[in-house]
Amino acid sequence: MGNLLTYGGIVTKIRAMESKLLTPGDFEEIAGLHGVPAVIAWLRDNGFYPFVLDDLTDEHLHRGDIEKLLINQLYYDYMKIFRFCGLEQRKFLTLYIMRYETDLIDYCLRIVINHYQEPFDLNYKKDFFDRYSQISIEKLITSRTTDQLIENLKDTEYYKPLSALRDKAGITLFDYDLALDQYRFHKLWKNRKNILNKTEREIYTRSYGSKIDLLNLQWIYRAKKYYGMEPVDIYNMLIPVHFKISTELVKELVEAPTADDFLNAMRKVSYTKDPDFLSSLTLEQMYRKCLKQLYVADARRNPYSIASIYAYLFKKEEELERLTAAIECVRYGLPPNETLAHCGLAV
Amino acid sequence: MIVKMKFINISGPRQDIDRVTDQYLSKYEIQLESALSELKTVDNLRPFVETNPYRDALAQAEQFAGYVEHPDQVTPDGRLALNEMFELIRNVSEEYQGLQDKKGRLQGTIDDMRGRQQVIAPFRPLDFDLQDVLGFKFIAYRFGKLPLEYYHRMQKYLEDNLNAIFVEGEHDDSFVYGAYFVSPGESTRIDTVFRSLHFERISFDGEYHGTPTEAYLKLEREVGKTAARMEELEEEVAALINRHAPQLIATRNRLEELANNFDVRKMAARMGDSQEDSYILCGWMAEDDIAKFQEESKDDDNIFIMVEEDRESYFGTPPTKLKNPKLFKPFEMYVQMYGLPAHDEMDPTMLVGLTYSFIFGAMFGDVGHGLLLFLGGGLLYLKKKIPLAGIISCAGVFSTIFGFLFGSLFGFEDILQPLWLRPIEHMTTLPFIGKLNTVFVVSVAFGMGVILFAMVLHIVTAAKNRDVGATWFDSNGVAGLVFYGAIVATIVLFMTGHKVPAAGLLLVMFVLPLILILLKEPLTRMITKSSEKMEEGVVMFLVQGIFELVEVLLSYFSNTISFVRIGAFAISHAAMMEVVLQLSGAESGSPNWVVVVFGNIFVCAFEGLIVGIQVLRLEYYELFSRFYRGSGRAFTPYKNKNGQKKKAASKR
Repeated sequence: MGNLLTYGGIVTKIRAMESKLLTPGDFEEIAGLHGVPAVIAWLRDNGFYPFVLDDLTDEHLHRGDIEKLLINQLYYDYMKIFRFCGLEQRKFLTLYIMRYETDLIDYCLRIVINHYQEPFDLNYKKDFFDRYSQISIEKLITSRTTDQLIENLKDTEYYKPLSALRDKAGITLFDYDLALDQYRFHKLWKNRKNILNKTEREIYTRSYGSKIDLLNLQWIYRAKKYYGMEPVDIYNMLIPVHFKISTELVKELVEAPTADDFLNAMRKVSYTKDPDFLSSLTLEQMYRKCLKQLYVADARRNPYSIASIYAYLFKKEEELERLTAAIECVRYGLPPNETLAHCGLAV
Repeated sequence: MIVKMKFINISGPRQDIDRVTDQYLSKYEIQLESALSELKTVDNLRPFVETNPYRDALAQAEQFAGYVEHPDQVTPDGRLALNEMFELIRNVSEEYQGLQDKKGRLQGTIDDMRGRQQVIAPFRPLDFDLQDVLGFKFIAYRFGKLPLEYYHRMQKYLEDNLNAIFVEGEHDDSFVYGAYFVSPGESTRIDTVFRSLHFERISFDGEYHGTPTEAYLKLEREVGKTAARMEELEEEVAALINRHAPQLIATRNRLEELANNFDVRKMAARMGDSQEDSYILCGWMAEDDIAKFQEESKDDDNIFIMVEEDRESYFGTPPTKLKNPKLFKPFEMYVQMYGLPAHDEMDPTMLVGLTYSFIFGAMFGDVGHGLLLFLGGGLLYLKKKIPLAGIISCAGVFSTIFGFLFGSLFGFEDILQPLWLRPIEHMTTLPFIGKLNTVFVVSVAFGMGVILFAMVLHIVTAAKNRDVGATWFDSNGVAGLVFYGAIVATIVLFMTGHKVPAAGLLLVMFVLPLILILLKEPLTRMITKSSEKMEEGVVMFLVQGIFELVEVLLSYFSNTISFVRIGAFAISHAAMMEVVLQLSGAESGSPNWVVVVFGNIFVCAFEGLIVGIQVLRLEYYELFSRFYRGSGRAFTPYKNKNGQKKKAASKR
């Protein structure tokens, strides 16, 4: 029960925040609206996203603008939770922020490697990163080449994995991204031992291990189906952590010569016990479904634990994706049914 | 005492400058001033622009002389003429350079071999003949390294169904070294796989023989041989240097002298036109030195010396050179720490020497410790010339004297009969205050005397400098002296049970001086008839003045009480030794001598340090701040490095 004391405040806070999440019913209403301004007005009237929508005027309804605002909402929620947390939970949140950081670096790498003319558009993220992250946006936006970018990351933990790649020949954006992701997953997986206590560690191991497994499955699937990659390249790409899938099974999946063999191997994976799989659900949808079930179940079973925090952040991220999709659908005047389908809320 | 300085100009034909510096300036102390900036009134002055011809040779000579093994055991060989010296340097340098080149080539070979060793080193665990493998025809082989991370992946996923054999060599932090073997038909496929695993090939030229370990050891042996050859060369160099050691050192010394003399030109100036070209040097010299200098150069036609009389109007304040009897020399350190006296101040060194030793003795009165300090400090001073040691030695004498007065010997108070009193026991009864340790009373009385004395010194100095305000109206001037003297007199009369003077007299003695101190600035202006206006209004002036007056009064009080520490330390010394004796169990009749000895050492060092600092504080705050500014600049004579030796030689 020791956790009740540490988590009492934060869980109550999260409950309050959860009550402000959009329900499927809300999405149905949104899907029935006409035009982006109407959606914004509806959100405003119903008291959603007051913090970010106040700044939005009707001239700035481009998708990019709205996405920027919505990502700020995510950061805002993160901040709220962070402020409510004690030291122990902050350690976890500090690790969690790595996903935002790798996203940011990805974005910058894309710009410098592809030599986009457009400058970095990152000012809206600056407040958040200055406060909670080791990365300085101030420095990053001065970079013009990959080398400069990596130099500008010198004081952060990402310098080592990135600079190791720098001197090698034939390195592409893909390799940098891969290195970042591998580093992030590896670190999150390893550090769970240092920052979580026993019960929390078990919960976390289960949900994070499953997440890694599912990601690996997705990657193998895509690599085989769309890119026809060699086994050895696929092995290089995987996160070297297997939770519920044995190494043998991974080998079988990767080296399956035909699509049928692959599907047969796929059926042996414990995550695909769902009868809907491969009939109505795509692998991506399955990923989402599995994770959501896991997170929600974790949060319900152990409400006074770290699970509540990451379950909320997961839900929030999902909602933001749906909302972005919904707004786009409304912009192009899709019928409500299709809109809901695009949001992953098929009726 | 401050040595009296005069400003002199030395001039003569231009070519003669080196001879003059060599002959005279290395003998007489002179602080050279830049002639160009000092002699503003003289026309036609130009700087010397010649470059020092000795610099390069000197640098080389210094380098070689630095290689001599025991320079202090070598007697310099002074028979060489100047061109012979240059010849010597050139020859040694050539020979040295040749040897150095040979060494460089050998070092290159060693580096090369080390590099090859580095290449083969990680493959040492592979136990097969390299030449055999390199000759394989039907099996393809690749040597190289694999990042550790990918090596693990390979082991995890690929090992079993990879149609190749990977033989491991050594691991380091990030790589696994090794080789893989594959049949030529499969090699393209396997190469792709390994490329994906970021395998980097390392190629061997056909220069390795035997197994990698053998090849490695063979290289090691060869490196050893080459290193031995380098050592031989090293010895040759040493032999070369030692062969010429006496000449080299003599050359270095002489060249140094010449180069330094040459650099006198930086301070000198050239004067005149093409027909009459001459140099001019100027600087400060002590008066007696000037007399001797003039005497010696009387018959020298090529040197003209001119002593400037009204120096201050032209050449600023002269530097300060202290000259005190040998006994007081160490105390110059304390004066220098505070600031050297300006040329118009008195040198407080002797005063410091007397009062410092006296007060130290009073605070640290113990016959045993005093003698130890005297002997230890004295020996150290004579051997190493550390001024602080000299000071400790002087202080030790007074410690001994006070030890006899207080009757204390290594903390034992029962061996010697005190000639005067025991600080910890002897009490005096004073009216109004009550019973008090006699030493406290005496030290405050002593302090009053010291303060009055310092005031007198202030008045004398100020009067000498014709500073009216400071002489009469300063808080350390006559007004302050009268005020403070009156207080002292009143207290003494009261304490000794005499009648206190009449109120009217006291009023005049106390209040009048204070008003004078308060009105110091306007009064000074009135007397000197200076036309400076007061900057602030009368009210502001009074408010500020009254606050300052309060501060002055407080400082009289606190400065006087400050002297209580003399008595306090006299008592604390006795008390601390009592503790030591108690710890050693002396009262039972058989003290533990180890404790006694260590206790004595501890108290001696600890208290010596604290008392030393406290006395210095008294000197600086209570004494110096009353009469001494310490704004002088030090006299730094032009010194040829070997000038000292020459002086001694010429005396002989």
